[in-house]
Order: sequence, then C-alpha cells, then structure tokens
Amino acid sequence: MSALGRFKDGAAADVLQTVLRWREYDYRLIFGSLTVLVLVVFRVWAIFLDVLTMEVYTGGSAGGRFTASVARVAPNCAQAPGYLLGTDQNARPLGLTLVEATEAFFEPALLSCAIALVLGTLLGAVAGYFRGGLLESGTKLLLTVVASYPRLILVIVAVGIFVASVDNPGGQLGLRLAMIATFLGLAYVPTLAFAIYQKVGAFQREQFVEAARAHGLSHTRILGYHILWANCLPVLARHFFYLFGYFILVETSLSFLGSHYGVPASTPSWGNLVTGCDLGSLWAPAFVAPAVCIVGSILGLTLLGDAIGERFERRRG
Amino acid sequence: MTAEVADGAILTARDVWVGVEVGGALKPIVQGGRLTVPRGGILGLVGESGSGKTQFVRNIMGLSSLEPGLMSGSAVYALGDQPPLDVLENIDAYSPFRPPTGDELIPQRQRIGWGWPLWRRRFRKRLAALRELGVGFIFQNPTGALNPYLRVGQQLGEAVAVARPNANKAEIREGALHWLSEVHLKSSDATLALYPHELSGGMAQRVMIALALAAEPKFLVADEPTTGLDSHIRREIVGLLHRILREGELSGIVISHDLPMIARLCDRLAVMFRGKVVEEGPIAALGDPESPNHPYTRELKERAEDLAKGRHSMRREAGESPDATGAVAAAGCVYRSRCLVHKVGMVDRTKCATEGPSLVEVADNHRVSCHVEEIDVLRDLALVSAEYRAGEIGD
Repeated sequence: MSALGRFKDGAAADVLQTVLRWREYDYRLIFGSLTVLVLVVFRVWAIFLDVLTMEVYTGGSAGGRFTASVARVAPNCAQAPGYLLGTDQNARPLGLTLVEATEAFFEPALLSCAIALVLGTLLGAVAGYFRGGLLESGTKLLLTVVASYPRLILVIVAVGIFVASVDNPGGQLGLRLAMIATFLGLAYVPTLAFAIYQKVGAFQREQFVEAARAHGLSHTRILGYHILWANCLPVLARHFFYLFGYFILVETSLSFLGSHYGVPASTPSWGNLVTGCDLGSLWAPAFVAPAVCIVGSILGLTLLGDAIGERFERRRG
Repeated sequence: MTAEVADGAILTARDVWVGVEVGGALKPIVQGGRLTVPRGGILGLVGESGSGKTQFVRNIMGLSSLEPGLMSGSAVYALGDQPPLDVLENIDAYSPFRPPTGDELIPQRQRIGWGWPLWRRRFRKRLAALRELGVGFIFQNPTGALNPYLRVGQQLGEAVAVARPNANKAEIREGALHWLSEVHLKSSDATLALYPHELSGGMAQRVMIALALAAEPKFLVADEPTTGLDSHIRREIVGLLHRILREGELSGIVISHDLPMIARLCDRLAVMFRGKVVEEGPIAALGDPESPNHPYTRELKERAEDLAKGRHSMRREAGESPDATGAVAAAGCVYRSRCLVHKVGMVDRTKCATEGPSLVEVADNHRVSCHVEEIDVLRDLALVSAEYRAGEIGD
C-alpha cells in the first residue's frame, strides 16, 4: 500500500485531502501557502545559521577555551548572499538578519497559538455545550472580564510588570519571549472561546447532535468529534493563522517600542530592524525589507486561514 | 411513587406532562399522556401536526435537552432480563413546574432547589443504561439528523462501534457495509465515502434507518419515517421497515400521519389530539367499522378515505377552523369544538364544556376518552357521520 493509500480512510485524511484539493485557482491559498513556506524555510535557515556561528570549544592541555565561530573564520564573508540587501543599522548583513529574526517570533507564536487554542476551545466548548448552568455563566463572566481589556495593552502591562520584576531581563530572551507568547495567548482566549461558544451552542441544538445522543454516543465523543472536530475546524484554522500573524505584529510592535518591552536591540528581530526608520530615509532597504516581511507575512497568514476555513466549510456542500 | 408497569409491556408511560416556558408562562405540549407498548408489538402514534406526538416520545426516550421546563410522569422500560427502568423516576420533585391538580388548568411553578443538576446526572446515567438495553430512533428529518461534515461511513462506523465496543477497524467497516445492504443501499466503499448532502431523500432515510439498526436495538422508534418522500420511495421505506420490524422481532413506536402505513406496520394504535391521548387500542379497531372509536379517530379515518377517493373537503363545517392545532389548557374536552357527537347533541354538552374526559375502557385493551354514556354511539359514528354529511341531522 502506498503512503497516500494509507491515508485514504479516517478523519486526518479528510482534512489533508481538503487542504490539498487544488481544483481551482485560489490566490489566497497560493499566497498564504508561499508565505508559510518562506517562514518555515527562514526558520530552518536561521537554525542552520545558528549552528554555523556556534562557537567551537577546543580542549587541550593548556586549558580549553572557546575559539572563533565557524562563520567568522570563513574568508571574505562580505561577498556572501546575506549582504545583497546591504547592512542593517548594526552593520550586520540585512538578508541574513531578516532570516535570523524569525527566531524572535516563530516558536513563541506557536506557543501562543497552542495556549489560545487549547484554553479557548476548552472553555468555549464546555460553556456552549453545557448551557443553562453555573458553568456557562461563570465561564462567560471570566471571559468577559478578560476581553474587556485591549489585548495589546494587556500584553504591554504584563510584560512591563515582568521586566520590572526580574534582575536581568535582557539576558533572558527566551523566557521573555515565552512570557509575551503566554500573555498574548491568554489575552486571545476570550476571542476564540466566544467564537467556539457560539458555534457549539448553535450546533448543540441541531438534530444531528440529538441523533448522536440517541445512538448512544458519549458527551465527550459528541462534543469532541461531532461538534469540534467535524464542525469547528474552520473557526480553529482561521484563528490559528490569524493569531500567528497577530503575534508577529505584537512582537514587532513591542520591539519597536524598545528593549524594555520587546526583544533587546542586539537581537535580530523585524521590529528592531524597523526601529529608527523615522530618523533616516524611509525608503532605505534597511527599513523597507523588514516592513515588507511584516506586512507580507501577516497578510499571507490571514488570507491562508480564511481560505482553509472556507475550504473546510465547503465540504458541507 | 412506584411506577406502574402494564402486564407484558415493554414500555409503559403514564401521566406524562411536557411543557415549555415561554416568557415566564408555561405552554403545555403533552397533557397527561399515556401509552403502552406490548412486548414484540408495534404501537402507531397518530395525530395532526402540533398535537405533541414527537415531543411525547422524545421525552419518554430522554432525548429532550432538559432545559428547565415541565416534564413529569413515568416511562418504564422492561427490556431484557433487567429490572424495569423508569427514566423519569422522581422527576416531579425536581421539575420547576408541577402538573395541575384539582381545579387547576395549567401546571404550577414550584421550588426545585439545588438538586436539579444532581437529578440531571442521574437521568443521564439512566439513559445510558437504556441505550445499553437497546433503543434506536429513526428521525423525522434524516438530512438534519446526519452530521453534515462527516461521511456516511464515519457515522455508520460510530454506531457499529457503540454496539460492538471491541470491534477493530476492519470489523467496523464490515458492520457498516452489512447495515447498508440491510437497508437496500449499494454496499460499497463509494457509499461509505458519501457526505449527507450527496444523498437523495430516500437514501438519507435508509442511512438513518441503518444508523438506528446498527446499534442493534430491541426497541425502535420511527418518527414520521416517510415524510417528504415521494409515493414510490415511501412504499419502499414502509416495506423495508415492515421487514426489519418483523424479522428482527422488534418492539417499537411508529409516529405518523399516514394511516395506511400505520395499519400495515403496527399492532396497536394511540391517537393524540392537542397534547392528549384520546384513544388507545388494537389496530383492528381502526379498520373495523363496528368498533367504537373516538370521534377524532373517525374524523382521521374519513379524511384519509376522502383523500383516497378524491373527495377532500366535502364537509359542512368547512367554514370553521378544523385545522387549528397545538395544545390548549382549558376546562372540558379539547375536541368538543370539532366533535360530531357534540354537534349532534348525543352527549351532555355541559359536561363536555366543564370536565375533561378520562380514558374509558370500551373493549378489551381498548380505551377511548369521551363523555358519551352509551358506547354504542361510538360504534355508530360512521352512520352518524353519513347522516350529518347528508344534512339529515344537524346542530
């Protein structure tokens, strides 16, 4: 049996086939897929660059020490492709810096999406399915309170408190990004939870749910498979890609605000690269290139989420 | 309160009240409904649209969402060797409304306290036990009762897996194909791969029947299984149901407006009018012109006969509103405004206007809810009706 043949049956195959059904020209799907492909390639490339520039430890009787990195000993690096766009404000090759900057948002954005999707789906599904009780009213109250604060303000305040509370925030980049991702994920939970709540609430009154109950399926099975998996995937897909793009925007916004909120100025980040664009020429490649990356990736991700969500919905006929 | 169980009955429902709360007031849908399904027998439940047939059966099968509203009575299932199971046990103590007593016409609000969620949990457990005993349901609208995003094979496979929890993937697929062939659908992977929107009305109804059968039930409820189908497909579905019910030795309830279908499939008949069961008896009573029937049952029969002979709406009372439907909470008999016996004065009209009739045994296992003192009046309804139509007797 071929590898594809093995995927012929089952729900995962259904999703795969839906995404891969390129029967008609859809610019959103093509542009969005290319955006994701570029982001993934950039991220892998960035990991590869990290490995290349990793400092090499040399042991020996005279005592071990770190020597120069592999990249630094490469001759005539000024001719490398990374310099095609020139240099950034810190005289680093702009092309490679754009690639390396993906580490400032890629994994944190995934973490943010995971937090929002898991918590939002859970809260929205439970409140929507078990209506008319304390569970529903309590969950809705909690979500309304969180949703009443603008997301970006909530993240800025939370990051500000965090930065003020640690001794060396600049030295803990990973932790800081994880905190931003967590705060944004939590701040996004109400948006997703309300969307799922409305969807589940509407489906809960559909006859197929009653039929599933009559056929002896458990609440977990009905909620998890019949409602969430089969009917809420478009919502989840849309919010996943939207939040991924939104995280890029938040990270660049915080970095643009300064080291106190975003990543330190010495660390590659699209937000850091556009910092200071108001001081020099607005059309300099050093500013245009990261701006294009920011706008293009957010646009592509949002369009892709929309296209995939629509394709899932089209399965209904 | 100990629930009453009729001898040899697989389901005994007594004093079932169902209502919904609309703007703080309670609208009754089923008022003191009762029915008995004998073991190995099929009960036909007939009545006009809005008479509460579906709500009655949905509630005694535990399919309602149980939002706070009125629900009371008892519905005792005696399936298999297990002790009888009353799915509505103790519900009166937890429902926010209680049935009317004495001179009250509509249900009254009562305190339910904090025990309601606990009762709901117990209710779910009892329903789970009921499913294990084997109960299937064929829904009125098959397209709506199938998940639009899941393929036929996935939905059928789930039902097979519920009946056989230890089955592997291949056995589940085999089971799904088997049930497809049982309902005369092409037993192939191509059929399993179809989405509900790719099915015709007849195919969707067959898939619905296959889904209900896949759980291997002992008790099957079919809610208007031929609604919306053309006459040819309808005949096929009725034939299919007839074979399944007889071959599988199933007990059950068939809800329908279609009297010929009921006559073919069922052993017993219950007639509902505006939320009340007005007649319950053997199916032979429907076809026998000498049998005492409730005037409403007689009206249904005559309408079906008129329709078959192309003589629809030849009635003198066409100016009235014979098609007004829905439950009413009022003193007296709910049928009196349309009742032939009432019109020709063969019953105490004051009693009809002030007292609600209770079911009276007119023959062996045959009960009619009417105030007439002489049962013979109900036997002669065909003659009375013919004279009334001819204008020989009147108001």
